[in-house]
Amino acid sequence: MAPPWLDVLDETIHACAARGRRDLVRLLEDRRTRLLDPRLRVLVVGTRKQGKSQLVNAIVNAPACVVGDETGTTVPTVVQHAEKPSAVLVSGRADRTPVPVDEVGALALRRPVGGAAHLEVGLPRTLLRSGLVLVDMPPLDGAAEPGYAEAGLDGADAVLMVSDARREITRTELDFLVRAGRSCPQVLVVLTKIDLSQDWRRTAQRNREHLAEAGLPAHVLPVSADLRLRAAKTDDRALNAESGFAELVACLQQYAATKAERIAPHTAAAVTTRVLESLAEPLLAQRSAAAGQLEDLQRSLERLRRQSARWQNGLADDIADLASDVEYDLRDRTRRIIRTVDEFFDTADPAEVWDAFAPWLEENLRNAAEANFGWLVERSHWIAARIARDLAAYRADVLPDSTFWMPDQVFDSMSELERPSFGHFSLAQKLFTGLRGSYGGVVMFGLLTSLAGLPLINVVSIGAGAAFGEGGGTAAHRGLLPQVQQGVPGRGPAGAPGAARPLQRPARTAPGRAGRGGARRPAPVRRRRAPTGVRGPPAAVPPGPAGERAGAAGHRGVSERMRTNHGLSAPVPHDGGERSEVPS
Amino acid sequence: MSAALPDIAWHLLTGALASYRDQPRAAAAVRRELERFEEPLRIAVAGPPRAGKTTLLGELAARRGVIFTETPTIPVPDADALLYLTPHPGESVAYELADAQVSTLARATPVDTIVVLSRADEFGGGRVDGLGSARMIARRYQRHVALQQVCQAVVAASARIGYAGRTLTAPEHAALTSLAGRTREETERYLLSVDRFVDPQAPVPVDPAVRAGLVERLGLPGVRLALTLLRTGSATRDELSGQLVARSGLDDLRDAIGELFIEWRPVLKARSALIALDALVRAQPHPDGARLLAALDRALANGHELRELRLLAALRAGRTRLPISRTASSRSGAGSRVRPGGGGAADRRHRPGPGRPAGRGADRRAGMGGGRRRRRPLAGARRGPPAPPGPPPRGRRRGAQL
Repeated sequence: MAPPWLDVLDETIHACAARGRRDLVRLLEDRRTRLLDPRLRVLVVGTRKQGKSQLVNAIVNAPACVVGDETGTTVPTVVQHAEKPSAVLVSGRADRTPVPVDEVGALALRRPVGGAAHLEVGLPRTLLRSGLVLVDMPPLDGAAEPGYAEAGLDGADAVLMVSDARREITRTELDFLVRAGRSCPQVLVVLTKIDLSQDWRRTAQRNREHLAEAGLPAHVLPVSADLRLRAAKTDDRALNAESGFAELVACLQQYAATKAERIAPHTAAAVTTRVLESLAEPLLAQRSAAAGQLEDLQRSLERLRRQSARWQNGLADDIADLASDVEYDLRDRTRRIIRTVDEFFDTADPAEVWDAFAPWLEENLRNAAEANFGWLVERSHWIAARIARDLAAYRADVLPDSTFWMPDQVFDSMSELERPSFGHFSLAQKLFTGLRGSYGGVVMFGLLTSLAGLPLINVVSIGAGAAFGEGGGTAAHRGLLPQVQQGVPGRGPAGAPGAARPLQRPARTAPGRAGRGGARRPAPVRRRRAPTGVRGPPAAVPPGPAGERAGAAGHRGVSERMRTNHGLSAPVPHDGGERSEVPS
Repeated sequence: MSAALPDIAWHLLTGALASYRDQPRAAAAVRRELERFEEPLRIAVAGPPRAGKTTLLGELAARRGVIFTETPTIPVPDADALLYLTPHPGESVAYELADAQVSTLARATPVDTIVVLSRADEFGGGRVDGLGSARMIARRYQRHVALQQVCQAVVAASARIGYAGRTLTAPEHAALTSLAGRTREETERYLLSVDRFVDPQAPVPVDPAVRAGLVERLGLPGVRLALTLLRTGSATRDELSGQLVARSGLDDLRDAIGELFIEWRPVLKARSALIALDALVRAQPHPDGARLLAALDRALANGHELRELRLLAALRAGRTRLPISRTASSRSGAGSRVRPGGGGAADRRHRPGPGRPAGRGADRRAGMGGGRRRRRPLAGARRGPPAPPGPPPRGRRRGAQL
């Protein structure tokens, strides 16, 4: 019955064949053959000058591999069992050059460029008879091209990493072992030259820790090839024991004996995993491509979201600015009108000039409202254009032709100016007021004259009373005038800077009425800019010059008419500077 | 006849300083190079971990006008010269060094590197003749075609043996002497491994702690060497100490550093300055850049000092020989060694004559070409009239070509 690992391997081969991966099929079939081969192929690897070749020589107790300070191993040397010592340089399938066995140890071979040459050395050794094959590899960090040792891994059953006991295992070595573990999981680390090292025990311990950290379940065996060779020469058993080779050889023999049960399943598992990974690679690549695409889309969505938030915020800010600017402008315009009205009523009696005043006020307010509204429209166009610029960068066709239009009859719903009630002095009222004044006069002069011996009510006192009564009537009328004037629409605190007036109405009334139905006031006043920028919009904002001028002209026209008709001497100034020209 | 390289370099740097006065950072870099001109020679000691950098640094000690720095990696910025330590010789050293020379100018003038086979005592698998075989390997590598092109010399040295020899104490000498008093056969089995040598049970007449100390200081190969030396006639402490130091190869290394680096301080300084300026001009484009680069190129290509230095290395390595009549005088004592820039008969003798065509190709031939062609500059020198004495190491004279 076939072992389970063979089934797995075969199924993997089928899967690879089904997906047309001939390279993987070939690789797996090679491994399958090798794993079924009873021989154990051990790859001896390591960096320069670690004693790899000397180790192999010490294992087989023969100068099978090139050793020396200068001449490193240049071609892989395969040491295997043979009935008679033999050496063959294999440069190709049919190119086998016999080499004198005695010279093998001193052979300085140049590896043909790009060639897969190797040296086959056969030795009659009991250890090798069990099927152990040792492959001495050129150094990992030597002049050979990188990946040279990796290529040999696919044909190996176990890896024997050789590392000098006088130093700890290096990153290069660990990295190679990690890579090797993917196709050849049976790894053995041999510390060489322990005869020259003082603290090889500590080094071995540290190496075990390093291997554990790297997740490599590798044995660490400290040995000394020199001691072993010397022991073999002098037949010194104690020295052989010190060399540590007994354990190494036992380990290799055990590997060779249990290849089918222990090494083959592990290797099959590792190889299958690697092959499946490489089968899945295109799919993973696809997935990562899709993930990349998704990421791109998410990024652009995020960008759009940011852009959208930006224009929305920009719009909100602009509208808030606009609202406060428009409101301020309107208030400013009405304030000027009110100031004129104030000055006018300081001297004029509303009752007398009302009929001329009402149309003048209405026209002025209308002009102010129109100019303000025109400015609002212009500003909103400007805002719209600015926002549109941002949007057009993203999608040009998103904008309609026009975003804002002027309603035809904006001010139609404005109400007529109400005539305030001025009241009338009736005869009785006049008489009473006169009496109130004369009474004081009569009593005062009566008292004075009585002091002079005259009766309380006499001619003098009555005459004085009459005089007082006249004055009192005028004074009472005068006292009423401010109240009457106050009743005129458009007067409020805005129009009376700093003046403490006894009968002020709440500020809202006048502009509220004037602007009703036209430009709607934004409810809360949110002024963010200092009112010095009276004429409203900041630099880049068109200040609605046309409306402004039209408004000013309107004012002037109205005031001209008022002046001619009713002796109003001052035009309604739109600019504070003009006030000085007003004749008193 | 072109001006001396240090003068040219100084002139180029001051010229570059003027050109870059509108670029503060570049100007600062040029000013830094000018300052470096005055500073001591910087020699970096680089190599992989456990190559023996620290020990070697301790042994080379401070020499006047030289600063040694230790670094694990190459290239080393700010270094004028490099001691590259490697525990194992091999062609890969040449590749590592070639990779480290980032600039073409640096690669074209490899006069700043000495390769040191450090831990030479561990060669030969720890046999007694390890140091000797290391020295032979170094000599062979010095003629290796790949290594020739990246370094001036290959020297085998064991700082450990040198240090232990220099500081050999009386108790250590006594312990070694009593060990050497036993026959070779008696001690041999205890010298097979460190474990055996420091074994407390071993019936040798020296305390195990002292034995451990000896191994610590000399290493097992060093102990073997010391015992051999004691048995072959270097009995006193001074003799043993002197032998150990002599065999350590440190003297060879010091000589090489002296002859190839320290004596050529102004030239090496000028070379580093020119290479730095070259990198700067390439990194910071400037209207004057093309002119500067051309001047740099010419300076290094024409710089006869650099060719002289390469030739000197070839002589040292035995890649070429002086005519027999000259050999005797040029090798007779340190005083008449080849000196850079400065006057002196020996110097004039080595300087190529004025009739010799200058250029990159000539430079390569002088330093790196085959043996037959390498002799030609010498022939020229012999025929040509003696060159005038060189200028002072760094003058502010205007370079003749600039």
